[in-house]
Amino acid sequence: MNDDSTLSAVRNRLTEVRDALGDVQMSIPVSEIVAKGRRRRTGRVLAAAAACAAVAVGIAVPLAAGIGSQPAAARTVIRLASHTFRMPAGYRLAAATSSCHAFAVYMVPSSGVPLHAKGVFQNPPYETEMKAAASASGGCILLALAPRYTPTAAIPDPEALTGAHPVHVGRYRGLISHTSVFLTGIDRRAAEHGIRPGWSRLTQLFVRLPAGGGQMRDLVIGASQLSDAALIRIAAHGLSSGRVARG
Amino acid sequence: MRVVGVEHDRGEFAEFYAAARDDCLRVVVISVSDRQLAEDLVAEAFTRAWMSWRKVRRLAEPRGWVVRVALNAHVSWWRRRRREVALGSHDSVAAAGQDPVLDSSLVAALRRLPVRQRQVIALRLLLDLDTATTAEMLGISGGTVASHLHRGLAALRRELPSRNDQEVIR
Repeated sequence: MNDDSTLSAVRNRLTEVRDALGDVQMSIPVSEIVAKGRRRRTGRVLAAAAACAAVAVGIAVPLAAGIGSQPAAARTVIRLASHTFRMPAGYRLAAATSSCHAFAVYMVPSSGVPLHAKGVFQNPPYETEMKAAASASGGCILLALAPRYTPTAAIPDPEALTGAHPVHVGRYRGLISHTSVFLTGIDRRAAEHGIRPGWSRLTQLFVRLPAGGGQMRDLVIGASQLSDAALIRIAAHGLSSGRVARG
Repeated sequence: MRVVGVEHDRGEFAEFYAAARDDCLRVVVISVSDRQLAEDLVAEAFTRAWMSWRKVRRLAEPRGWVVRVALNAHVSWWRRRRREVALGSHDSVAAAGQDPVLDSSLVAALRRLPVRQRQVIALRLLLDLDTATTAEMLGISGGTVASHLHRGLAALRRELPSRNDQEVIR
């Protein structure tokens, strides 16, 4: 049996199965699909929201204290794909067993959102392009790279949340937003790290980085209990001293 | 004008949903063997299609996009499930809602295929898309589609009642 005859035989068998499923019909009305999409579009939260979920465990990020107080060489440099970001002094890449890292692993959505490039939709590689850094005093900052996108006049940044405010982050432009996420379905491992279900108020900064070919890519930086100015300051320092390098 | 545009989009999407939903559901049912799960996955895929409708509508075959997203979502569902149910068995979970129609060795073999091969077979054989359109839907080359199809068929043909069952595909 060659490929063509196998193809034909398998096609016929599967078609028989499909036809036998004639009574299988969607019971969900289109209005429900549309309403669900509208709700989600309004409240879409990127993986970086995980950063801000630190609120859920009451992690306080001591901000200004660390910035600029140590030589740049002593600071941790985090790489996300081909980008580098220098963390504030005192922060180190979170260990895989830390609560900070647990947030990242637990909160990163597996399905993700579509890419916006080339008209092709692919799952974002959040799981490999998201990292967490924690300070000795218990602070936690998470970073994630959102999928590439092509900005348009109507939608300059499709990744940023609705209602985000434009800001300058050093020599880059960005959008900052505050939102709340409801943590649910807390599993055993997350619970062991003190993650609790419920509402958490979040702050996210979307820094728009050039990605080549007219495309952009957002570096999403999240932390909890920070003022906008403090988060922007961390981002500006991290990007300028770490110098964004695109490979 | 903007409101009119949104309403137009919604009407167009509603037409697409009415025309494609059952086809997509049956393809996904065959791939996951659980009606309720399949309906959840297809609903999720259509929700994403609506959220990105202005892009999806321009695709050569939006049904293929929906099926692909639904099967990807199945992987995601399984990953979440694996995290949440430490000692759970995927087979036992799926078997709970299994349909007698789907209880064939060929369908079982299809479900055992890697997700990409399953997507290619779903799009090529169950939705009858050509290689180029399948490649576009999956974001891969036509050659890669052919390769996945070849491997998938090689696995499925063992379940076909044929005197040439043991012949090796070259």
